[in-house]
Amino acid sequence: MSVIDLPQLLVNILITGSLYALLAAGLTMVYRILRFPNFAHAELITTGAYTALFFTGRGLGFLPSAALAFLVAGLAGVLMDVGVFRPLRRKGAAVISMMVASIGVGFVLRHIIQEAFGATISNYDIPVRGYDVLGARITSIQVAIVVGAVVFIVILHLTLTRTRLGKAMRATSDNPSLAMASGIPIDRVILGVWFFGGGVAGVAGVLRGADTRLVPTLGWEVLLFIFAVVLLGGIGSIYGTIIAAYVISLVENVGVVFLIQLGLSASYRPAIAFFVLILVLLFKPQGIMGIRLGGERE
Amino acid sequence: MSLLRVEGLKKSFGGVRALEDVTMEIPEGGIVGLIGPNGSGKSTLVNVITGIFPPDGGRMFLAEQEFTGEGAHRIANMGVMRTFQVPRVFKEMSVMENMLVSKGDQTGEDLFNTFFRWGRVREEERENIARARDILEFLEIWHMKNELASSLSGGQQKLLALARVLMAGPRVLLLDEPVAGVNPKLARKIFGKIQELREGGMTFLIIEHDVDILMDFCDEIYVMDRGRIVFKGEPREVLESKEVMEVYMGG
Amino acid sequence: MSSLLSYLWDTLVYVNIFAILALSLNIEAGQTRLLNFGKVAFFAIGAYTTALLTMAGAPFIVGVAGAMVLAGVMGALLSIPALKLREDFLAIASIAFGEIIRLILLNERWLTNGPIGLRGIPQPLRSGEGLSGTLRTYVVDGVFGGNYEVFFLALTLAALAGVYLVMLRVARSPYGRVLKAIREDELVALTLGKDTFRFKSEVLVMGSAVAGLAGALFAHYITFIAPVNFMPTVTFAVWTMMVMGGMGNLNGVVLGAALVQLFERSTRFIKDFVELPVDPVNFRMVVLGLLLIFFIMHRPWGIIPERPMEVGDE
Ligand SMILES: Nc1ncnc2c1ncn2[C@@H]1O[C@H](COP(=O)(O)OP(=O)(O)OP(=O)(O)O)[C@@H](O)[C@H]1O
Ligand SMILES: [Mg+2]
Repeated sequence: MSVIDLPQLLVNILITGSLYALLAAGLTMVYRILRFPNFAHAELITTGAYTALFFTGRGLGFLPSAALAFLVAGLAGVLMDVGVFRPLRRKGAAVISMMVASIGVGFVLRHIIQEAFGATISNYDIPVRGYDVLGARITSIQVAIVVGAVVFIVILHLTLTRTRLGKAMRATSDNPSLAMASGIPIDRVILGVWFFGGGVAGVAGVLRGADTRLVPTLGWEVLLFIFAVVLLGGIGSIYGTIIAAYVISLVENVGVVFLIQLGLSASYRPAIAFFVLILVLLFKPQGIMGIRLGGERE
Repeated sequence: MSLLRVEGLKKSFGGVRALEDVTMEIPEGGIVGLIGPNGSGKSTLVNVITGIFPPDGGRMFLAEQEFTGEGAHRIANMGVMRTFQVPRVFKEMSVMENMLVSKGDQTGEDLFNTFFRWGRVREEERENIARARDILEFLEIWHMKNELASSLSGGQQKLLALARVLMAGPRVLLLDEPVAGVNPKLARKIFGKIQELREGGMTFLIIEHDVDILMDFCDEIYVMDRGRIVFKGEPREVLESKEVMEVYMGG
Repeated sequence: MSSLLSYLWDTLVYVNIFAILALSLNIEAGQTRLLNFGKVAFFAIGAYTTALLTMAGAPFIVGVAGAMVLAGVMGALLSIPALKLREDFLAIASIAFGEIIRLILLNERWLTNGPIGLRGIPQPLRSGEGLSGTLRTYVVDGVFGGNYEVFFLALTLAALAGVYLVMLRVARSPYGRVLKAIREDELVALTLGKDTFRFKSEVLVMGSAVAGLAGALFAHYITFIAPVNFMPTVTFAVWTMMVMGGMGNLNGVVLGAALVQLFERSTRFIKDFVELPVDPVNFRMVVLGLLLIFFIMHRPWGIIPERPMEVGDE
């Protein structure tokens, strides 16, 4: 049994947490504003990853490809809303209809991607360098993940607090009918959230794909981790989500060490997050920073 | 003796103090009215009494037996039931189904009985249909019995919600604006029925904005303002009360 | 000709098994609005339980009963998150549950043989001595003229009929009416004195046990099961069956199962004869996904809508 490699453990927690924050941001925003868990969020992630594969495969650099991934995944989010969720909203469809529709949307997208790129594993053709930082190993992709998360958090914070769009977004998620009454164009705000949330998910998918590999189920594989993060953070709470991303990452990375010491397979790693997910649902459904949603208000 | 008694009830939502120290007694067989401006906490009081929200403080008793903190279905089964301000009928069920489901203690609500005592279940069903018919005929919606509740007009849904809770046969019935949106003639008729039911021993707390109708039917009226009871007295005293004038006029 | 017939019998067996599975989802999601997105887990538990039991020598009946009991117990477990009133939480928790089950199937090799799965699951009345041998002579050879496929078809049809009748009784009883009330407005059901948590747990136990039965029949039919048979796509297909056929309507749900299975089986069949321009699996999933979206958006009541009970004037 090897001794725990503390620096590496800390670095891993940082990397995974940063990735989770990026993966989860869009989901939590849409969940808050539209009140349903969008299961097709998984495929926004995958869409981003494969968009970058498409462009890097045609000789475009990694960064421009990631930017295009943002665009395409963002647009995919907008299209989902315009094509499916907005019409459902207009009909006053229940949360259940939105959820089921999102499962359908996810399957359609996933299998279109699988048809286009095949079910087999792909990788970006980019050089990955490794660094030694304070005794821990970290790759250039992982540095990008951490930097990406920091940049994203700063941009998001500035958007939410300093811009009219940010204020409109917050107002809309707090109380859509009140926001509408006070003249906020909520349809546009909602589209903005889809675009931004989808775009960030797409970039996160690129980073995840670069860090591991690409498969059409890339997004689905991480979806439940993301839900654990979103629920622990409190649905719709951006800051809660960021904290929760690192908490789940910590629990998972430390949990794996325990799994191995318990003689269980490390492939139970996802089960750790699922376990946290279920505990949160049972004991703290409003999350660490969330406001109770919906409720029994007449 | 009071049948329903609440003492010092408190409830806040975030920063909003919806109930601050509400104490109220409802005598057995009484009809008590509750009025107050919008947002004064009337519905919240009903929500707390029926166990939808746990109170932040205070105690509640039915016939001197405490039920603070009990779950909503337990409280309902003790005989404390309510209607909602918005009718909340079961939309994709027929009017008759709305009625039948409401009856408590049905043999057929048990899986074992569903399979092994079907005869008894059928027989009970017939009795319940007859009972539902009486109520629906009285409220003038019997002809809608096979329609989906969603196809009823707003006023009819209100009546169905009332019919449904009467079907359950509560001891204490808390009505949250039962006749808002119902035509005045039928509204009076409903209040007449409430009086009849009271003579049969049922007890009522009625939230209503129409003070005139309350004056004619209630034994006692409470007035709420910003989470507090600001007045309690006989109907004729209400209009003379300085406090009530202040609440409604003073702003 | 005979291969065409045998293709038909095979398709019908699948229709029956998936109709059972769809009915098990219907009592949960269609009648009670318990959004179980982990249905495949209970199907898998049923399949593995009966496989392990019968491979260890237990008779078919014991295997199937064990499958139903274990799946039912797991359903009780899943009902704990259903304690909360929020329907989206159960949806998420049930997906997580499904994935945990799949992880266990993949990793506990000593029990499940990991990704390779279990081979040689015995079939009822296929071989064996004694009582089983006598029954085979009378039933398979006698009644079905030795055609085992048709015998198995009849077996699954009988199971479907049994499940259908049970579900029908529930749907038409005061019990089923409470389920509908929970679906429509759980809070109101509570204020009418219904112990909604009891109903919801019982429904999840029942739905899971029936899914376990479907899984058991599936295992004995294909005789070789592995985790790849129990991917989330199964759950997704079953949801499509139910939504398309008509949530809450038993006939609709059975019809939905039949349509989806006919479509699924025929795309499998066709690909053996013609070169398809697209991968049949992708084609199938995209079509099912579009159907699901179409029905949710434009015909949420399905092909055969649920009908309320009617009472006469007398
Ligand atoms: N579930 C809830 N969550 C947050 N705040 C609530 C909730 N229910 C009520 N409130 C708040 O509590 C206060 C009292 O509301 P309540 O509905 O009890 O008033 P009311 O007297 O019934 O008014 P009305 O006459 O308009 O029906 C209001 O400020 C309301 O916004
Ligand atoms: Mg009110």
